[in-house]
Amino acid sequence: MPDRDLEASFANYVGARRPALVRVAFLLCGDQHHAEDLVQSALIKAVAHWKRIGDDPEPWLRRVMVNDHISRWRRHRGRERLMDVVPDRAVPQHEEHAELAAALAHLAPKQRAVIVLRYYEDLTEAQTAQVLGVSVGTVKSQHSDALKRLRGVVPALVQTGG
Amino acid sequence: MGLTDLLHDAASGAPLGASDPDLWDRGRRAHRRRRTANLMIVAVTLLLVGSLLGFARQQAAPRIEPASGTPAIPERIWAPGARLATTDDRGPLGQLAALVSTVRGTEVGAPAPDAPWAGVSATTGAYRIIGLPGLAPGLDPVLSPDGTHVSYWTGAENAVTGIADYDTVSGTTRTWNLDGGLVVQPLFLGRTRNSVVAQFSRTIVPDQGPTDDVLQWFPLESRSTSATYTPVVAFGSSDSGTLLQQDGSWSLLGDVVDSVSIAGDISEARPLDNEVALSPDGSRFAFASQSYLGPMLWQRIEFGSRAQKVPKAQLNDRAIGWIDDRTIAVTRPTQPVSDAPWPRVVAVDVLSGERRPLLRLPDARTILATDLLQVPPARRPVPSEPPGALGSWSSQLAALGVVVACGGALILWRRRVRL
Repeated sequence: MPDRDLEASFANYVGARRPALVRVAFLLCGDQHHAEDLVQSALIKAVAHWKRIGDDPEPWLRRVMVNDHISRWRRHRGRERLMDVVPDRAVPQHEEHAELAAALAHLAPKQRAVIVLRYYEDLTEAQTAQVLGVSVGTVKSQHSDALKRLRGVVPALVQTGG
Repeated sequence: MGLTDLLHDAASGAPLGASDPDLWDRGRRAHRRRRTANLMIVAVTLLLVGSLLGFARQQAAPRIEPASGTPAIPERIWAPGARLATTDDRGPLGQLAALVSTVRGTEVGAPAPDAPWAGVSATTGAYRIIGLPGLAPGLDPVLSPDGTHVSYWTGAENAVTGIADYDTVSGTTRTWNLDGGLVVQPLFLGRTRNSVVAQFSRTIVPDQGPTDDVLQWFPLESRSTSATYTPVVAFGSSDSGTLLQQDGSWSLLGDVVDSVSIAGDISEARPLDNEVALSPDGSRFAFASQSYLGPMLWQRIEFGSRAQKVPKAQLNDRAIGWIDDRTIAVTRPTQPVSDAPWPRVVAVDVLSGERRPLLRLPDARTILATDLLQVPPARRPVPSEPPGALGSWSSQLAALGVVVACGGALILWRRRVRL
């Protein structure tokens, strides 16, 4: 495929799918600016690989976003601390959303990624394992731990989980 | 409302900023930068690996061959390791090919004044610290031409009290006290086949300068010594005797018989550092000159002889012994002499100036058994204690430091280009 076609294909994809990617990134990190950074960084990295992944870039982009988010979390975790109230977030529309945001903030990034990929992206355990680069068993255990934590923070999710 | 619904609701509330229209170009630029970075990493890695391999090859030991048993100087003498066995623990080493200074127990750097000396076996190439009881700090010992004795000044630093002679075969040490005066200043120590010859100045009256110079001769076969107080200067010794300057002539003080023979005229040339290489049979000598005549001169020991210039000699050459009637062994330390690593010894034809490589030494202070220069050098096994352990450790640490520094720099640089 000539470069001009590749660029057009990339532009079409960004135009069509960027909002969806930003939403996934927002759920992964819970921060609007960080989410946009994650998406932009992943898209810029995708340019070099577009010839290979252009037909179905979504799995590749998900994996890059998750990995970048985890890397950034590892770099900055010493400088961050958990808070009861999540400050810099989009204003929740309902009380349930606020509770969910607070509960997600208590998860480790990989657990949070498992929840987002399984419940928002509707991926199977195998697909989730592929995105995270871990085994299916690890996905299962992370999933179980994540639900336990969510319910610990927001008991109301006991009824709503799944 | 289930977790899925809650997540969808939360995600739909995420505010969406405008997309960057320049993403494709930024992606291409980032890709180019990343590719350049990777190429640089590969280049630097190859450079480092190449340098380390080159260094390792340079340090690699020669192929080990069984020792011949015939006394000879190893073609390469190594810097002794830090944990060599000593003759006190393992007994005498036998005939030596060389004495090498060590820096045992100290950091890498200039040898400590009291650093012990290691002997190199002439028959096996083994290394061992030589126990020299009472060795005066800062004064180099002397190896007899055949490598069977080590003679040295005894006493404390700046307070020489005597002479000792260590037998490398029996392990026994013979000592003589100097009755020189209040202060003895060592000037020359030489070793002939059967004698130790020492020259020193002495101070008899306190708070005054040296009173006179004494040339004293210690035959090994008897307890008696003989001394002469005439104004002579000793320059070098070999099996046959000791070369002196006396009354405007070169003279040879004999080995067993206390005789002095006229050996030739003194030219305008003076030996640099008062060092000459006297042939084993006492028929000729060579020396680096400090005069205008040339960097290297040689002269026959016979009545009326004069110094002759060695063709093509180089400024830093230093004669250390005779290989045959017309060939001398010369060290070629680079400047500065004391810091030169692994100086080479080359054989130089005194008539034609033709040179050929002979030996490699750990440093310019290495003392050779000069009689063994007449035997072709032998390949010997590398000592079990890593030779040059201190030196190679420092080099390895330096190489490791370079690798770590380069790695750190690359990581920082890659972070800079990372998006």
